[in-house]
Amino acid sequence: MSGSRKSVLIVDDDKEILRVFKLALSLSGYTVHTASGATEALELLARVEKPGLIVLDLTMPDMSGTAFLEIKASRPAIRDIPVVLCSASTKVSELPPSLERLDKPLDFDALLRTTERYCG
Amino acid sequence: MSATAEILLEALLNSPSERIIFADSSGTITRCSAGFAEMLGYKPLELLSRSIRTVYVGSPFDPSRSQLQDVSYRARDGMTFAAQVSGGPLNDGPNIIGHFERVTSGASPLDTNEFVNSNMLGLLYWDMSGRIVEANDYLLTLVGYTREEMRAGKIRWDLMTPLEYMDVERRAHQELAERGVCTPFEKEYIRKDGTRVPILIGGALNKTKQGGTCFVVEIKKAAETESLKLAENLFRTVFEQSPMSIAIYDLEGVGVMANRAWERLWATTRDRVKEFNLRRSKEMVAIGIDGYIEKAYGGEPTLVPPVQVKWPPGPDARLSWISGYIFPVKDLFGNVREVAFLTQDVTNQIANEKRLEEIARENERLYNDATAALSARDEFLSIASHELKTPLTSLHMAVQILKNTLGTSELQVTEQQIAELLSTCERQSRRLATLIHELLDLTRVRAGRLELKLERFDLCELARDIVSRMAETAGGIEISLTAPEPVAGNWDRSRLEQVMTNLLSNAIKYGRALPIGVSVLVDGGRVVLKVSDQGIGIPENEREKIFERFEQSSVGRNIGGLGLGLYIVRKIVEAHSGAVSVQSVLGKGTTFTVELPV
Repeated sequence: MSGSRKSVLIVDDDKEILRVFKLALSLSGYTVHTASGATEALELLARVEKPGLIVLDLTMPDMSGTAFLEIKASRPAIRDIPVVLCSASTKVSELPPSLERLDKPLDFDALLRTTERYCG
Repeated sequence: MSATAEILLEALLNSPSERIIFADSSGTITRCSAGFAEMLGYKPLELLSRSIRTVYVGSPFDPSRSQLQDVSYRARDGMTFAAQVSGGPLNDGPNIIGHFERVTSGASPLDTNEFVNSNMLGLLYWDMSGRIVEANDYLLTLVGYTREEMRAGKIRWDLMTPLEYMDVERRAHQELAERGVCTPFEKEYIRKDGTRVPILIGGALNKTKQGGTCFVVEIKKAAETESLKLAENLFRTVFEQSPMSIAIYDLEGVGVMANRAWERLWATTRDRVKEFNLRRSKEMVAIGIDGYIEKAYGGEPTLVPPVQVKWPPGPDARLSWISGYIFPVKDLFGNVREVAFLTQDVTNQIANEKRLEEIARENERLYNDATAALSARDEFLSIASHELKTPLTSLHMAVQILKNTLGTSELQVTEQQIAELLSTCERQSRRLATLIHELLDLTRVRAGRLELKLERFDLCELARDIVSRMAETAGGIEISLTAPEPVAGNWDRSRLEQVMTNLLSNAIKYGRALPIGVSVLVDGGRVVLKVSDQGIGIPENEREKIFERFEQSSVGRNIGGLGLGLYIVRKIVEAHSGAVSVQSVLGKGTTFTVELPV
């Protein structure tokens, strides 16, 4: 796998999901960062090389995905990083409409294809 | 005169039917029959030696003329009798020594007296001087004079006739003069007190033409009287039967009359209304309706809004709401004569209105509750689907990774990675099973089908097992148990296990990783189980709600879980005839207490 590929950041409060998603993308050759909450994700983004994609859960205890997106938009350094929403929420009204969505549960292939489009 | 003639004359004079009188040439009555004296109201001897003129009105009988003559006698009481008289001179040889006269017809005092005294109508005798010289009681009562006043000449028909009737009066006299009678006509008499009375009057001239007889009837407008009576009766009935209390007050404000409903409303008798002055009452001012009363006295009908009145005075007093309508009673010229006040007790009505308001509020509350329950259910479905999808996501992904590693060299996985993926699958399927159990429990609990399998066991032992099991997976969170002595009872073991597990996992979930305390003690015949954390706490207004279905404290909204745990705990505890409660300080921690009968 090519080392030129950009890294991916997965943000989700469910540790099992983080573990399995990380494995799935690592096996496909991506560098994967994980954060179990929005706060942790923002800290991480300040430290590591800008990832090519953020896979973002919406419902998290410390801060909602929506709040995370607002903060991200206010920070020029990370504002441009593409985000794909990965949520089990059925409340369409809570979802930012402009963003691409991966509805949980999702296929391995769907995760890979989407990641490839942004980071490939 | 021969003796025989003397006897015959004596017999004649004593006969009650003979009306005969003798006078001498100077006009002095010398003899008089009993019948004549009686006719004029005298005793026979009383008239002797009196002038013949005593018994006459107008010209006396003329004995020089031999034919029947019309004369008018005057009775002792002044009444005049018209009569036909025959008679002639009495001679003593060639000298006229007197005359006799004998009433042949008319002047029947018995007949007329009965008629006059019957007072079926007014009768009067008048003379040309304008006086009424005789009248019966009916007439005297009608014009308001006494007999004495009449005798004194104080009743004058001319002065009793109002000016506007003078023309009619003149025509009547003309008719009397021409025909001797006058056709009955309507006029008015002025009574002694100045008021007028409408009458029908008709009459005839006496034969002497010096006066006449009149009959007088008071005109009561018959039809009018009848309809007035009907109206009066109608008013009385409506007044009396009205369910509204009615009282009528005069211009001063003093009560005039009140009806039965008034008696009922004020628990008194209606004559008491006369002791009450509406315009001077301090109570009316105190309850603020004096303004309405004065408005009615000013001529304007007014609705009086409900006021609260304490009645009756004394220990039995109760508060009643009274509302009413007060209006002026006016005469034909629009002047206020009286004021009528209609009132009714509207206490029940107002209570009903209040009850309806309460029902409306209650309905609104029920509607809001139902709406809230619906939205809570929607929220629950959304949470449930989220909670189910989360383990499903990692399970599905793990399975697909494993599948993709089969028969391909593209994905290089280590054995350790495969083992990890498989244990992920195991954990997630178990997690799903737990969630499904919870949902099933909910269904059972909702349908009231929570069946208990009772057995005797030690709750402390169960608590120890659960605490040690959960401590293993609690990621190092310290869980201490206080259970000094065995507590045995008949309970459903697996259900109480569920209770403790739910409470403990809540404590772990919301306890900020700080130590958790569990205690099982006996307190006054009840087993008390407490699970305390030092976590985020529950806002006061949510402490009751958390035991409801689909509810989660807002503080922990994003932590995950179905929000069914505490609801199921409550239902299980209640099925054991126990109770669950919560004490919490926001930011300091929460203690759940379960009390069970032994």
